[in-house]
Amino acid sequence: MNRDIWVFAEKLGNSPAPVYYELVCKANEMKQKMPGSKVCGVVIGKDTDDMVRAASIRGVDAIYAMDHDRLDTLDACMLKIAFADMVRQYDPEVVLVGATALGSELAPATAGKLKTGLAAHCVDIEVTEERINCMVPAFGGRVISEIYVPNTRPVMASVRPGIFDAPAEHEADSAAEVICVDNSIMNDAVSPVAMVSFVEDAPTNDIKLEDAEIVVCAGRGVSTQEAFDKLRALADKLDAGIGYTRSFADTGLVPDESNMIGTSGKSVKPKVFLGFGISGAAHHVCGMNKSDLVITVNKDPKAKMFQFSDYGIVGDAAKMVCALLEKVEK
Amino acid sequence: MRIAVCVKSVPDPDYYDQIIIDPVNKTLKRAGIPAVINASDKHAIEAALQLKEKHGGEITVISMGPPAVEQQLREALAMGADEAFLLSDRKVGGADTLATSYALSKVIEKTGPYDLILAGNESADGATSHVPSQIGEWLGMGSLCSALSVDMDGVNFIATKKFENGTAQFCLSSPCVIAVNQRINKVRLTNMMAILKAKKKPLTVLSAADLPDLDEQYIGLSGSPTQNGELHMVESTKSCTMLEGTEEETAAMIYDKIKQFIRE
Repeated sequence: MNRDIWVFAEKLGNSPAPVYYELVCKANEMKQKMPGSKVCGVVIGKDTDDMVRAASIRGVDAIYAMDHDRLDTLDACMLKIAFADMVRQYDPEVVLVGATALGSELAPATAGKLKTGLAAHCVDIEVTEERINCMVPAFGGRVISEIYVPNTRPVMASVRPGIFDAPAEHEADSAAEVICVDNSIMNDAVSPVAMVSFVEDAPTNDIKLEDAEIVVCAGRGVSTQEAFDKLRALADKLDAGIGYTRSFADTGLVPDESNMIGTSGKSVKPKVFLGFGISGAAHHVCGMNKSDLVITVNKDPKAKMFQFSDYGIVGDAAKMVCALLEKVEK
Repeated sequence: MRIAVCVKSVPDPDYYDQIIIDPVNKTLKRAGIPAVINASDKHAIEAALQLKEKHGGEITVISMGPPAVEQQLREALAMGADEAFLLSDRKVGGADTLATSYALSKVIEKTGPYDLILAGNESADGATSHVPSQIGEWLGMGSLCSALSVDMDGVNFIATKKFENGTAQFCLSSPCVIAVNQRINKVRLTNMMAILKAKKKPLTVLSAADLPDLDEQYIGLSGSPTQNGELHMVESTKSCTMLEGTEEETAAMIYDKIKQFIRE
């Protein structure tokens, strides 16, 4: 029985989704404690040569690739057939999947097919003598539960983007062995789901929240359009990414929840996190508590958010945004 | 059209900050926290109601849990569902997501057939988003998670989903499982009349023995491939220095800290 650690390399545009690099990094850490194991990238798709090349980075010992016309889709019901078959053919010990929109669906679908255990949205994975412990947040991140998979293989785990660190640069490394996996299972594969269309988002100039060195974040204390506009202006001046909590999203001042920070949104770990009017609910804190410097403004001196901050100011969030904007503009 | 909606009764998320771990027996202390219908499941019920209004049909809500979950199912009936089934049996207790999806798929088989199975995309307590696609796997049906829209087109269902770099539209042949994103709709309010009417709607409690060909190796805690180890509280490692002064003064202090930190 091999002890290999597989990392799913999802195709995003023309290269692996950033979470792939984060998981490869984590897998290498796990490998140290799993003698004889290899870190392997998993590529599933159509015309996968470019993806195989892009996924072959330093730290990846092998790439398993399944290539088939039917795999040119975002339908997890089709992709799970390939993924589960690859696992059955090569029997890895661990399978890591980034919890992207696709990964969050493909991981449970594949685990269901393999009837094995999947730990959702791990914030850490520890390899001990006895077992592999996946640290999984529950109750909105209030508690972390150790999840392990005692009797079935592989141990599957999903991890949200931004949880683990990855080096800023990925060294291409063609030394990885490439295994073209037998794809005959796909010849008769049918899915009851068909992807009819895919409309790519228009490109924006906004700084990506997960890449920003500074994040400014709005909580319920920023409750007016005017205050939010000022916050945007402040983010702009600071070259900061802009995020918000669930309670802020519920005010309807943003069209969607794409930049919501927390357990059901994005995880960020910027150098500086500036929170305005955030109460500090567990489900939000879980998405930002790896930030280096945290500064919080809240009018309630008892706000939980202060416990997770380095500096705190008791005051009106909207007014402080204005004051800080003025300062920065000078 | 027959629609099944899977709903979960969860401890009210407004109280999660009060949850603590008992230092002696290492279990969660959550007594006194009221149970509610999981928020995203309410959006699934709303989606079912809208489909029913447009295309006609009947809505069945399905849940699994202790007998007290009847109360949340009554609420679902008050929202407009027509019938409810609760699987309540110690044998299926302690289930992880795979074992839960197996038990629910058996309830769906028993009470169906359905044209569509809806669910919320994730629960507030566990938040795994595993169960819908795993129900699809057990039943051999197509599934889609995090749907932003659902409609019926003849014999198929059309749903959209947002990905990191765009939006895709899918066509799912019926029957299928669709988990809805909370942004799909706005949940309607229930009124007193509806609550009273709900009391007369059929609600059936099932036990494991009622389910056809239930394979015991897949149910309950012993049928769960994942097991729970220790629980940990999320503690902060920071200590907060409070800054005092006028807005202008404190703004200057913050700005200095930011500049200092970014330069390092």
